Amino acid sequence: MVKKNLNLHIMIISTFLLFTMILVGSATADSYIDVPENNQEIYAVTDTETIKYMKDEDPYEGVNRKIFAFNNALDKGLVEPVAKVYRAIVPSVIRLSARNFLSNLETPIVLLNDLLQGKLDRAEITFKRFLINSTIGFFGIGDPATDMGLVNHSEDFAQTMALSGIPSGPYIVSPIFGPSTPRHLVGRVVDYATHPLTWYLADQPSDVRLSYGLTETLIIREELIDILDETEATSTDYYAAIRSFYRQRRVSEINDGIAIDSSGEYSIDRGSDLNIIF
Amino acid sequence: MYKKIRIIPLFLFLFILLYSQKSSAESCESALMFVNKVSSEATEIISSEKYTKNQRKFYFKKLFIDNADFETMGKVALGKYARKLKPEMTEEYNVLIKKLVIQMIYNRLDNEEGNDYTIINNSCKNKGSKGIEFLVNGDILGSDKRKITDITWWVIDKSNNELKVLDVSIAGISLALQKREEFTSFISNNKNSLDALINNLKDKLN
Repeated sequence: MVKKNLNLHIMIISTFLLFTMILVGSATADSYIDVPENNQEIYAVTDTETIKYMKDEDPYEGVNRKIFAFNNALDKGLVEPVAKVYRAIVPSVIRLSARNFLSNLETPIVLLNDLLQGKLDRAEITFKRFLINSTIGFFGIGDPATDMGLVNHSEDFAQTMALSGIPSGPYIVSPIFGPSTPRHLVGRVVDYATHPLTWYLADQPSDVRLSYGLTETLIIREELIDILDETEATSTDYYAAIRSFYRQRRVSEINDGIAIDSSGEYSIDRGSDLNIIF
Repeated sequence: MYKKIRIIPLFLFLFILLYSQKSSAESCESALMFVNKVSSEATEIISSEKYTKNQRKFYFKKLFIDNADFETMGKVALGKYARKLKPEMTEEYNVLIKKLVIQMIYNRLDNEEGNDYTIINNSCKNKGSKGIEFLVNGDILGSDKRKITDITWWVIDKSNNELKVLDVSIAGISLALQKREEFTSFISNNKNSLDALINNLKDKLN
């Protein structure tokens, strides 16, 4: 049974890696720019800056938009309504506990990547958080570590790869999992393999695994209700808004939340397109 | 005598350097004070129980109209398409941007998980080389004084210490960059038409 599950995991990981390599390879080869046919004329008349932007950042926009529409329909039809019911009937204290529990389970992934990135101070914080929250915090339901000044932070394997100089590759929207990049997809596979529950759940019946997956999705989706609703209500192009949101969030996470001059290229004396303003 | 003359430019250079650093630090100090004033007023309005929701929105709107540079924000969001903004479109577009930005910032700060929080802005650095742009960084703290997330303000000195907010980034998400990516994508997918964008904004906001 264990061997069978192990083989299944290896197969899933291999498929993901292959899929990712194909995407990275094709992007590097730069042989394919997926511009919708009816938009060819539009891109032809825009300047080279826009074409370069499309080519470099989101070369698969046409396909991405279709997958995004599918994911969005699935979300609107199923995930979001359930998440709203969950929010309506479950008190916020319990929802917070559930988030804490999930976050604590991911601590070993954070610790591993703190160490891989050579951030020993952060690794120490993560280790202490895990010890404190798993014991005094009742298996991570509470978060007394934060009260002790040990503030939570995120790390994952994709961030480690980013800091090692591995490029993200183009923006892609994967079915179900949503916005990503090849680097992030590979990182997710490694994070999945190093998640403490992965190998435990491998021995459990499929309905247990499915229940865990659905619960995790619900908890994460509930947390995003406000920001996604607000983004959709105020955006002229929801796809582009989410793409920007995803990219900026990842940059912030990679930089450990330290504010960087992300708008640097738009400085009034450096951005050529803004010189017209002043 | 010649040696003394040669030293003068060096002193002049050092004086200019020291003076510019001092004035830059002073400007940053002003930017930090300005942002602290705006953010404390904003959180006070949002967390105040003496106002109804509509009153909160009204005062919040007023605060940002007084302290933000919507015209430049709108142009930043348009990027290179700002050139195509005809004078007859400008007024309507600026009104829409004002509505949109206020709604977005308000919604991001106002959520049902509770509005009892504070913003502590604690550092400032210069942005660009003209000495008129600043990035002020701070933390959003919850009622239990735990840090919820980061906040960064992009501030510009319009003229004579008239400071204005150009952008707000919460949790690393810059509102200006998000809108810029959205707007340029929308315009390029709608035959480079700014009218299409304005109509879409009108539908969304009116």
